[in-house]
Formats: sequence, C-alpha cells, structure tokens
Amino acid sequence: MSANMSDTGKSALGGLDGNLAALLGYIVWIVALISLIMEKENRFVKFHAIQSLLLHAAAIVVFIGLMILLTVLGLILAMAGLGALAGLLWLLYMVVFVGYIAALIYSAVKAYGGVDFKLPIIGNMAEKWAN
Amino acid sequence: MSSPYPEGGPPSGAPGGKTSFMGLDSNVGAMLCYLANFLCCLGLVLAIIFLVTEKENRFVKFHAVQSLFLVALEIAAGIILEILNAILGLALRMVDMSLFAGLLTWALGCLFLLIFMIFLVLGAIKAYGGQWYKLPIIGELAWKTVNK
Repeated sequence: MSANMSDTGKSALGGLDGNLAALLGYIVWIVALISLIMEKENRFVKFHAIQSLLLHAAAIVVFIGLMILLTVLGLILAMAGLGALAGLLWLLYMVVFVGYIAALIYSAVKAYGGVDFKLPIIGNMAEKWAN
Repeated sequence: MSSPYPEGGPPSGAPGGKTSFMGLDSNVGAMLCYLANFLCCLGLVLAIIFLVTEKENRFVKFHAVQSLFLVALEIAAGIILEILNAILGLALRMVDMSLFAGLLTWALGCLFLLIFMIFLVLGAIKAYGGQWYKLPIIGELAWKTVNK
C-alpha cells in the first residue's frame, strides 16, 4: 500500500482504526450501517459508511431495474422468435454485478489506504451528507 | 518437519510485518479471510491468494486455511441439510402437513446460516486480536495443515 497513509483516527466501533472501520463498512454492509448510526466525530469513517450504503442501495435499484428490463426485452425477443438471444442479454446482468463487486473492492482498498476516494455521483452525495 | 513452536502451544499475538499481498497487517489480513466471505464469498479468493503468496507468515496462513475449512464445512453441511429437508418435506407431505414442512425448511436454513455467520465473525474477531484461535474440529485440522 502507499506509504503516505494519512491518519484516519479511531472509529466509534470498539476503537478500531478509522481506515479499518471504513474498509469493513464496504465488505459487510451492516458494519457501515452501525458506523453511520454510532459515528459522531470521525468524518472519514462516516463518509465511507455513507458511500458504502449508497453504493449498496444503488446496486439494489439497478439490479431490480435491470431484471424488469431484461425480462421485458426477453419476452419481446421470444415473441420475435429470438429466444436464444434473450439468454445473451443476461450477460449484461453479470457484467453489472462484476462491476458492482469491483467498485466495492476498489473503494475498500482506497479506504484502507486512508484516501477520501469518491465514487462518481454517489461520492458527492455521500460527502454532502457526511458534513 | 516438526512443529516450529516450542512445547506449550502457539505463540501469543500476531507476528509483525505485512502480508506480501496488498501489504496488510497480519491480523487484518487474517480477519479479512473470514469477513470477506460476507461479500459473495470473496474470502475464499483472498484465503487462496494468501495461501499461495505467503511464505513465512504462519499466522495468516493458519487463518486462511481455517476459513477455507469453515466454508468447505458450510457447503458440505448445506448439501446435507438440503437432502434432509427434502426427506422431511416428503414425509410431512404424506401426513398432509406440507405448510409446516415449508416453514421448517425455512427455519432450519435460517438457523444454519446464522450459525455459520457467528463462526465467521468469531474467527474474524479472534484473528484481529492476534489469537491463534482454533474453531472446534477444523481448527486442529488447520493447525496440522499449516505446521506440517
């Protein structure tokens, strides 16, 4: 990891280091939720907790939306006699899922490195709410 | 090779130094082997990476092996539970209690997942605390695997 690890302070969760608490928030979303409720002082931990929760929430919305979209598209394709093509569409679902996991891991690594890493869109919202 | 540790069990505390993969502290790396399983079984991937890349750090290796065994046990137990549930469901359906069978299957599944999660968290906490914590049965196996 990078050498310039900034001091991220302690977390309200049993005195864990701030960067560790932020990392755990990405991996186990319940930890992020607890951080969000309990954390009063540490802005770094709070920011990452909110960003993690927003990412999870966004993923759920996207997955539900995609599922509906793909089902409708699949039905249309099946009616047009292209049912085999519909299966291929679900690859898109897989790609989005892999992207979601990758975003989680990437932000977790950044958080552990003590960086205020902002994901696009979600990051700005999280920053606003954390302050 | 005999056990590298003097009589009287494992040393206390996690060894210093960093893991070769990502340069985590030993106890953090060991903890992540357990906790990353909450994120679509990434703990498996991490544990295997640690097993391959760590040459010296027995502490991380031990917890990597133990977490792998724990997941393996979970999968095995899950299969057995499924079979048991199928049999139970059939038996209960014969006596016209299929609603009850569904409930029972669901409750057993939840209980099973809960127990598994408790073990994961327990292992994670102990690993973070730098303990060579052995879970029942699989702990001893993991210990032998690492120290042979």
